[in-house]
Amino acid sequence: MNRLVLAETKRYWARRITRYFPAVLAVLIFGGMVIAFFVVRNGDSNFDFVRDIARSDGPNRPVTVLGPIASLLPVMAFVLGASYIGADLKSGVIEQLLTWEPRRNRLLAARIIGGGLSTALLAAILAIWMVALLYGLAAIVGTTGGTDADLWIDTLVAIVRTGIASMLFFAIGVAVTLLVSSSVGAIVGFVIYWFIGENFLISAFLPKVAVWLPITNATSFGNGQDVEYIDGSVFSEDGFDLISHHSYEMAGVYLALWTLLFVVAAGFWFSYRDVD
Amino acid sequence: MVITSTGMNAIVELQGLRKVYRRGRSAEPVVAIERLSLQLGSPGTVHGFLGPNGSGKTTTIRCLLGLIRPTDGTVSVFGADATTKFHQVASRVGAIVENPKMFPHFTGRTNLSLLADLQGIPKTEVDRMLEIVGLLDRGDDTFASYSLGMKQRLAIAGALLKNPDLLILDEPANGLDPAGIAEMRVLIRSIAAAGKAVIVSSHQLSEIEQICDDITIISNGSLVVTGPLQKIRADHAGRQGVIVAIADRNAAIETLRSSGIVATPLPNEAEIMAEVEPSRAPEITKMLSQAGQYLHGMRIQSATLEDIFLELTAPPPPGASATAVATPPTAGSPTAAPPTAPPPVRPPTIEGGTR
Repeated sequence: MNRLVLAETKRYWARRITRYFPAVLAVLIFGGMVIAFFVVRNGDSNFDFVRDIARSDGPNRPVTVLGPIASLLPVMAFVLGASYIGADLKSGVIEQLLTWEPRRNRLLAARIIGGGLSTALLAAILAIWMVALLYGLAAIVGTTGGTDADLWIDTLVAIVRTGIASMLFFAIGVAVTLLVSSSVGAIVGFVIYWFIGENFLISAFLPKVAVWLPITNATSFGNGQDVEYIDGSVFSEDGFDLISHHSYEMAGVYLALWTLLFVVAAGFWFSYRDVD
Repeated sequence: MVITSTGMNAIVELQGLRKVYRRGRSAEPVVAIERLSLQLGSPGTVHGFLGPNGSGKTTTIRCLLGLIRPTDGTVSVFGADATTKFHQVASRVGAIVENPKMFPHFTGRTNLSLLADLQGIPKTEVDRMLEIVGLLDRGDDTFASYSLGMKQRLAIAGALLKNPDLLILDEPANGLDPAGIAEMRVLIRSIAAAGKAVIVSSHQLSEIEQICDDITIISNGSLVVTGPLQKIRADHAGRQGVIVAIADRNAAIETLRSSGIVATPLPNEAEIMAEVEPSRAPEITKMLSQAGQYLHGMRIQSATLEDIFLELTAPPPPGASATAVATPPTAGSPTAAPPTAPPPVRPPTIEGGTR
């Protein structure tokens, strides 16, 4: 099994999208920081938080900024997972692989472990890159005077959570693509579900259902904030309250359970389907 | 293990194999393989697996590689159930199914290295395989940049990487130029000469004829005939004889008939055909020369594999019953389902099962 995981890891890193997609994201993050730099220097108060982002006693620490941005990294992870298995299905390489390792669930497990850990590493590197740029920006346009160990520990924990969430979404990407036999279908469906289905429609109209769903829990886990639901209506003049439902640690557990569900379903389907 | 018609141990055994595809709920089920029972592959031999397009060759190969599940029946490879236990023998089986399948944006060397990693095969083997298939100097080019022939050769290198005891090649000559086909022929024979079993699925019959020891022909998912090529050729020889080109055809026909040999004029005005064993050609020459009739030319008329294939896989005439019961071959003799009568000309004969 170790050899299989190693082989799958090598195969994963040999893919262009594994290297180029995160590289493009790194460039985009850098571009965002450059824009933030000029905006802050020109005195836009909306970006004032950047000035004291590296201060432990400040209201906007790297972890609070990192959370929302880093919660998008699972989207990257899903795309990488979907395209990894999707390329095999499309090119027919899966057929050849199965003549080398016919135990399909072993192959799937090796792929999820090798690719998932690699994706976690990539996401963590991107998160570190983001923190480094934020810190540098604060040093240039604000202050890093209040930086202490707590700030770095919190930031490190947030980076680890980002890596874990990305690994889980990589696995979901692999599983969903196997189930629908199309990486494009899986990615499009996932993005629509993420941004429109769960984040908008279900959260707004079925808030007590949303707290159990994967995207809500993933966002909460990435942000390090409790999963909350809306009590009342966003369309009501009386307003609404945000009620805490469960902690971000439990959100991580629910996300892991969702991942397990998808992977088991995909494993079952992959074991019995004809490969032709 | 069972004993094949060649008297050797069969590596692959199919018993009552049946595969029905159902595409969608409303679609009619399609029978791809219909109760196929046969043995394939013996160490040191090349077994040709033939059939018209859509006859079920690739489906059969996929079944024996555990890629698809039979609807009914069993497939064993090296004694292991291919559907559930193929992993026990996978290291002994190298295969190419249909087209060469590699990652298009990886180099040839990377593609092979990634396969080698799956079984801990040393990198030196990758270069050795590239050299064997003549791609060592193109190993660092991407698979997508290869010609179809080069892709085919790389896929063969991938299949050989495991040093398999059984090599299954599905249409290996596809896309190869004449020189490539000749090289492929030599390669396949050399693999068999090294004691490996090779199963080659193809519709390039002249190639099969040159490299195979045994053949199996299937049609519409059912067995038509299986056994040693020489034996099948002898049993389905059809109209064989010696064709003589001579100036005075009538005189030559009379001379031969006076010696009890049936001779008939051919559409070509200068030729006659003496219906004798090809081995009697020198006797014909002598008879005619002693009668003062000298030959312009002579050639042997015998059935090619293509003739046999076309004869055995011809569609049935309208109204003919289309039934066939495939039975395993017995030692030393080919099996046809049902047996065909020796044909004076190519008759429309059998059709295996229904689809």
